[in-house]
Amino acid sequence: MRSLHLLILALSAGASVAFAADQTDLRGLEIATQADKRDEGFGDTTATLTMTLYSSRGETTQRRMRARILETESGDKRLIIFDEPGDVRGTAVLTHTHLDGSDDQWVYLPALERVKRIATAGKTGPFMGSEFAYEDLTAQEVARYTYKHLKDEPCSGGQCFVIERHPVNESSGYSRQIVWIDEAEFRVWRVEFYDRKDSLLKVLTFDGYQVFDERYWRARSMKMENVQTGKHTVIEWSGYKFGNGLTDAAFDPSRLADSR
Amino acid sequence: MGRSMANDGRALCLVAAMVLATGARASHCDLTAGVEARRYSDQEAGVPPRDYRTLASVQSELSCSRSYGSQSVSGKVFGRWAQHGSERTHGDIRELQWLWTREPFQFRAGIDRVFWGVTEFAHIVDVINQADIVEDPFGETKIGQPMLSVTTRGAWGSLSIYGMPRFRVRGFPDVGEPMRPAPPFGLGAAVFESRDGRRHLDGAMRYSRSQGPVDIGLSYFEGTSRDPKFLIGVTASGVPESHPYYELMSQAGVDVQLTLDEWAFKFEGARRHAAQRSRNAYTVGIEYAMVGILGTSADLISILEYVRDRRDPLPLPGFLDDDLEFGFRIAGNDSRTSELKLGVTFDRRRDSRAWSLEFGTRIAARWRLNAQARVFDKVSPRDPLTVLKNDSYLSLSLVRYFLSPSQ
Repeated sequence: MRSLHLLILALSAGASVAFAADQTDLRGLEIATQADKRDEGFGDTTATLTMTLYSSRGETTQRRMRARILETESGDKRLIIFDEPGDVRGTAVLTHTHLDGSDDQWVYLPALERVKRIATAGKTGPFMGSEFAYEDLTAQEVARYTYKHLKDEPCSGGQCFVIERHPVNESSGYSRQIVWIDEAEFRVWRVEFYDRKDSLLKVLTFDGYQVFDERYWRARSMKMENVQTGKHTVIEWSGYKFGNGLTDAAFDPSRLADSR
Repeated sequence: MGRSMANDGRALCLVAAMVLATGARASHCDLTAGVEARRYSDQEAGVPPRDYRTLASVQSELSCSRSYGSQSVSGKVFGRWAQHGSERTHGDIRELQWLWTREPFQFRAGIDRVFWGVTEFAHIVDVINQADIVEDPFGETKIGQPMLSVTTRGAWGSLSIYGMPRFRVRGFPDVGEPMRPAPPFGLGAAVFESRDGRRHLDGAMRYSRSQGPVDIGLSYFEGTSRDPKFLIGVTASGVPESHPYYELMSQAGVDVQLTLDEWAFKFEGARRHAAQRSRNAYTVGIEYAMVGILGTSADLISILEYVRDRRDPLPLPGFLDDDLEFGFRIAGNDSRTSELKLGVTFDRRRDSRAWSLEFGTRIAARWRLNAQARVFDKVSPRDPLTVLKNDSYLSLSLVRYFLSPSQ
């Protein structure tokens, strides 16, 4: 079953890889790979998120949620549990990330007490009415994009590599992204998202990096601005914990209903 | 029901006391409280008259949980007080359980609600819990089931075994009340095929696995059927009454979902053996998801399903036995988490039609407004649903969420 699935993926990916090959340059790929490698071995993480939505008129709405992330060889597994607002409390979203971008996603709806598998097409849509799309919040696996090194320039994190990446998966909501990664620690400081018509859609900036276990850098805040609508969303991360001993079983869809 | 309300009141205090006894870190209690106003459709000829057309009610749900490392206790108690109808004023312990996780096992003891299945309209394989048809005549709301269960997981999937020592009967609205899918007589005592009555030990198991785009479940149940037949009798004073009769049954079921990008393909099938006869039921469905419809942030999911259910009795009399179902679900993806759902069922054999429309939106940080319409716009006289012909309704409700701070 698994090998058949992989074969189909390999066949369908073949065409886009061949097309993308001439767009990729080795330097870009090297930077992306290095950034990914620096983060390997974190095991698991838990954290709390506060998400504030700002409308173009300056009105704000808040959401609070908890995240649990497990690193696995075939891609990260992520569980997000909503605490606020009250009418969505207890809602849980489980994502099994795959290297190629074909994520599996389930949602637990407490009002129905039911777990539903959701169509992966949903990941280009906004996350909880915010300026973040589901795909912006899933793991940025290296194999999901082809890369091009554009230039090096100063950025908020010091001196940065500027690379352009093109999503391999056609169901992505973006044509390309431009990413600023610092040369010292390979942290992402800024991402520009271009829509399918190739106009600038959103700008994501990272702030307040902290280091955990002397190795893993995590941003305290992520600000996503939609330049087309003037709305923006800020995610504040707090209470990062590593090495919680989370197991694969805790990320099984059959246990989603017991997530608390 | 009055007595169960008192029991539930005690349970509610017990849950709150258990959970709050020591102000532990990983504990919380949330309360929701709402008011609802309902208006039923005009009286029609040929059906028994209803006692009322408007109904106001107040509902509340308290939900608490507390974790102690690998163990947790949780409870959820529901209650509704209604202006009319003694049976509408009711309460239930939806959940009251102890859960212990010791990898790869999970042990559970207490009361819980367990849902099996994948389709949106008919729930063929879902058999653990009794339906709360006073709350929802379409059977989507369930009451809590006392159980002991163990679940184990591995790379091969997940296996759960359930033992259910106590049966819970279905509650019905009073005679003369709307939405009463039962014979038009007073309700007599429940009758059981099993000599053990409601103490018959029911057993069930379910295997499930998610592999790539496929989610599959295999299930088996043996015990007292949650769906009653009706036996008509006469009281000592000569008044007819109907006795719900609960048979023993066994049921094997399978449910499968294949999810490919924006498409989902669903199947549920079951074979039920009861009263020396085996009968089959199945439902198939297809779903298509569209993201960002009409340049907005909203998602639209379109659903088409068909059900053929030859089981006797049906989970709901005359409902979803040979039906085509069509539905839309629009998720606004807006800051108010607005949602709109529309469902239509067409009975192919009896030429009946029923609609359901639901809308919900957050109107303030802790307030949500919901509107619901259920319409039986075409009901054939041959249809057992004909008793619901008068019962189309429109309801508006306002819910307030009281949250204890999260951990």
